[in-house]
Amino acid sequence: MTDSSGAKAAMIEISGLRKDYGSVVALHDTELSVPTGEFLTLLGPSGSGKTTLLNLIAGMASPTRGRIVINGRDVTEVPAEKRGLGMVFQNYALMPHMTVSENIAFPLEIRKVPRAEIRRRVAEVLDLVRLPHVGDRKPKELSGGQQQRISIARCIVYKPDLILMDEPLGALDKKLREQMQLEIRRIHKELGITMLYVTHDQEEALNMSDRIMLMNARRVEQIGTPDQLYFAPRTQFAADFIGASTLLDATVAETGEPALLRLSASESCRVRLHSAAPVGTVGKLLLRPEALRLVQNGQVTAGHNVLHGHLDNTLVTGATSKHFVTLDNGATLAIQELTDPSTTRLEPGLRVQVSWPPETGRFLEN
Amino acid sequence: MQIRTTNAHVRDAAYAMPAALFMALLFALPLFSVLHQSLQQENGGGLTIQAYAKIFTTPLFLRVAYTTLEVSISATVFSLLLAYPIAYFLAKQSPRRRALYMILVLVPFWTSSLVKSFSFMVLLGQSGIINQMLGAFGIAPVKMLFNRFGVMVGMSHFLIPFFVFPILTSLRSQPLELAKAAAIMGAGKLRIFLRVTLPLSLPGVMAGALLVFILSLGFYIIPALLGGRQDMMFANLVDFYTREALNWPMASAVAVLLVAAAALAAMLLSKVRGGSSILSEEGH
Amino acid sequence: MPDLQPLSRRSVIGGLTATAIASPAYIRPGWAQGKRIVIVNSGGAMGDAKRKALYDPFTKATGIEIVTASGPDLAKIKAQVERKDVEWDITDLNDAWVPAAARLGLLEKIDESIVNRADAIPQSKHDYAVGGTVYAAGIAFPTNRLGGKAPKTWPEFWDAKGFPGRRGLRNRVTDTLEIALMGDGVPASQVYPCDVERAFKALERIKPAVSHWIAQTAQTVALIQGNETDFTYTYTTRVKDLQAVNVPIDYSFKQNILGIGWIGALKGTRNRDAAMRFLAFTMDKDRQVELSNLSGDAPTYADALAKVDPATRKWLPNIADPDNLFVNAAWWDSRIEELNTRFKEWLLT
Repeated sequence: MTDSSGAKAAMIEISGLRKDYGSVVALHDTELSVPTGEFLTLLGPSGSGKTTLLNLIAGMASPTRGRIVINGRDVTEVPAEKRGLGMVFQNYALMPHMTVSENIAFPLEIRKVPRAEIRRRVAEVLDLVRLPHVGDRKPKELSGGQQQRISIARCIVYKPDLILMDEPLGALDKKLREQMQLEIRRIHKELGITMLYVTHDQEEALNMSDRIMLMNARRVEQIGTPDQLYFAPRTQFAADFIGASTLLDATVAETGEPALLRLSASESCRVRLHSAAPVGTVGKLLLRPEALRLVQNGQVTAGHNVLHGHLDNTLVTGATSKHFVTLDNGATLAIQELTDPSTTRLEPGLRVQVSWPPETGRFLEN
Repeated sequence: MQIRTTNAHVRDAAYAMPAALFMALLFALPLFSVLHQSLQQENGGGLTIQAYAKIFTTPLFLRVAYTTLEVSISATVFSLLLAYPIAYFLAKQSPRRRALYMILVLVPFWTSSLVKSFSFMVLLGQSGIINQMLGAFGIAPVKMLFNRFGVMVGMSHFLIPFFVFPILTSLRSQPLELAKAAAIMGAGKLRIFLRVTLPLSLPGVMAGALLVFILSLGFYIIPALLGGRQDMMFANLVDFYTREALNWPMASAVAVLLVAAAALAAMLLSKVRGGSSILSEEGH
Repeated sequence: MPDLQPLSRRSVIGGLTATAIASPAYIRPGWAQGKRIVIVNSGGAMGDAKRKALYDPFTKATGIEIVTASGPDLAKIKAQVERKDVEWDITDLNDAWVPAAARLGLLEKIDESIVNRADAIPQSKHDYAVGGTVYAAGIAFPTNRLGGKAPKTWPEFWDAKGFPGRRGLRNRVTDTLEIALMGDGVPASQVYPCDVERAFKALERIKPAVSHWIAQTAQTVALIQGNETDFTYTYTTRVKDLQAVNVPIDYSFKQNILGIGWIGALKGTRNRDAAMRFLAFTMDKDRQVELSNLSGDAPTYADALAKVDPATRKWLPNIADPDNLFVNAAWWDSRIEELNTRFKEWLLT
């Protein structure tokens, strides 16, 4: 469905959405527009409001204010069972007394689909999630990952406009989680159904999403693509929450392209400011570990920022290594680089220089 | 799973000893004593099965046994129909409210059968409150006491708490997400109840039904107080033979048969439950 | 109003000394000091009445302490006697139990040298038990409906056309069989031995008019009060208590069924003499009069009736009236099982 401008119409339109429980605000006024077919992740720590938002969209809670429009239909007052959504839960929520096939068939029975058609679609969707032979088993006979795939199958079998996922991989171990992330991504690409995914795991969000909506303290912190959130976080919370980061105290000393930041009495560096922060603005300099280089033999690239310190420790984890450095001004930072057996292992206590190009640092106001 | 050593097994048995001895003394021994008594001759002497022979050949016993089964099954069903909604309601309450309502559920235990019969007369009798109300609308009095209906009312009054607790436990053990998931999939409240809540509560229903049925088998006072002359229960005969006829072998034989009926019911029901284990323990 | 003197030690000693002259020398009042006997009764109002009229005065007169236990139970008595470890010395007994207990060897033979009951009514004498009270049962009816027309005799009770109304009988065969015969016109003196066939035919006739076959005594009057039935078979004391609180119910003293409240001593009691002396005490006329005043049951001396309080006497049956029927427990002893089975079967059809 496209509007007159040719752009894809939104599957979800939320305006002014707010939820209070008595005097407690569970979700501050929120706006959101999700285009059809997007994989959007609601990311945030516990208590950030992401689950509240999901529940409001699902229809399991009523908003105090605002509107929810799904696929062009105002569903704010519509009860959950009439919204035509799909939902996947962390504990799978498969009916223990029904077989896998019966579980998947359940939503089709509700929709009065003829039995032969049900059988066909159940088989089809079991193939899609790559579990074609488990139809007659009971959920408890399957592993966690398999149960989650059946749970997803149960959603997609009735082709809802929107699938909600509430931390679906939280109960699985790491390896399985990674596999399932790929699986979900694959299904999403194949079917093109809009998906709204809730998680507190920022890696998961970065891996799977078209866009991420980062939430904090029951409001939206930042919405953007994974790249945007990783490389261009707008707040210190965003910078800290997503990816590893070092945040150094910094004050704007000179504006311009690039600007000059004072880091301590003796040190400063150049950075590209992305805002009109005047001189004297206090904030933090964001440095990603992989953007930093441990300089050896004094070979600093021209134009790069340099800081001095000594090496505390090095952790070599197979392909990558992490160096932990204490700067002369007392702050600590981490440097991540690919392991080079001949140069990576260094003596703790060694005097070092840390360098990075001005484009990779980012200044975030307080 | 760890491999248990012989020592561990012996130790476990030792821990179970006190409870086993307790059960043996207070339960098995008297039961055996009654069994022994039932095999005595009426005027002293050796072992005989004349008591059982008398029971199985006398029409009275067979009729009363049939009535007892009929009444017990009806009472179980009747109590279930009343207890399930109560349990359902309680399951949805906050813990504090639930505790308060629970006390109300237990109130029937604090009334004696005779008091119950008087109170029911006030409520359900010919000139009772309900019939008076019906009379105000010109409806003739309905006979709700001293018939099978009266027996059902009186028995279920006592039996409902026994049913409520197992059903409540079963309902509360159902993960909340199941109902939520069903709703999101499009199931209305009735369908969620019939396809999800009710089937998953069956273990509790079965447990309650067994308990209530066995209790019903032994009832005789409430049916005598609130029933009609056709509502004679097997245990009434135990009472007669013990206190009036003073024929203890007969009394014991009747009692043994009641216990056997209860044991049979328990066995049958355990087969049903074992065959369909419903809620899984895993669920990650 | 006769003046009831509390028993003085002197009069008791006097009486007992008189007995002692005629009995073995070792029975002397002083000998009993420090002894005690255990009496088991059914508690309740009668238990209280007995304590006031019998137990406490007995202790006062003889120094023998009385400890009460609750719940007479032939099975327990049988167990104690067989084990030769008799804990209870004296027990209350109802009509049905006496022949059975005697037959099973559970009671001491009454020592006629100690227990003087010569003047008591013959129905109260048994070789192994003494009868100290008489209770009565008969027809109860409401006074506030049916135009006051209620049956007062058993033939009237059996006349459903002449006396329309719902009947309530007991759901046991004892008493019911006798009532049926009297309802069929048999006079009290000819009820025993019972013509069982005739009784059952009579019961068959009245069955349609019987709305309740009552399980517990308390219901016999409650059902009348609650307008569930109209005429029932009940005890004098039940109606008396309700009339006392102005319930519109009354009682007929015609053709009453009379039962004896028996007391016996357990065989093998370690306090045989004290027990016998207690039994003698219960057969004392004055003691029976006081018990009657407190309990509402009649004494077992026909001439003691006149000495009872008029208020109480109103509610006592006339034990000399030939139309009243004393229960014949001996007749029932061998038949109760068979007849009850037949009766319960008949109830079910």
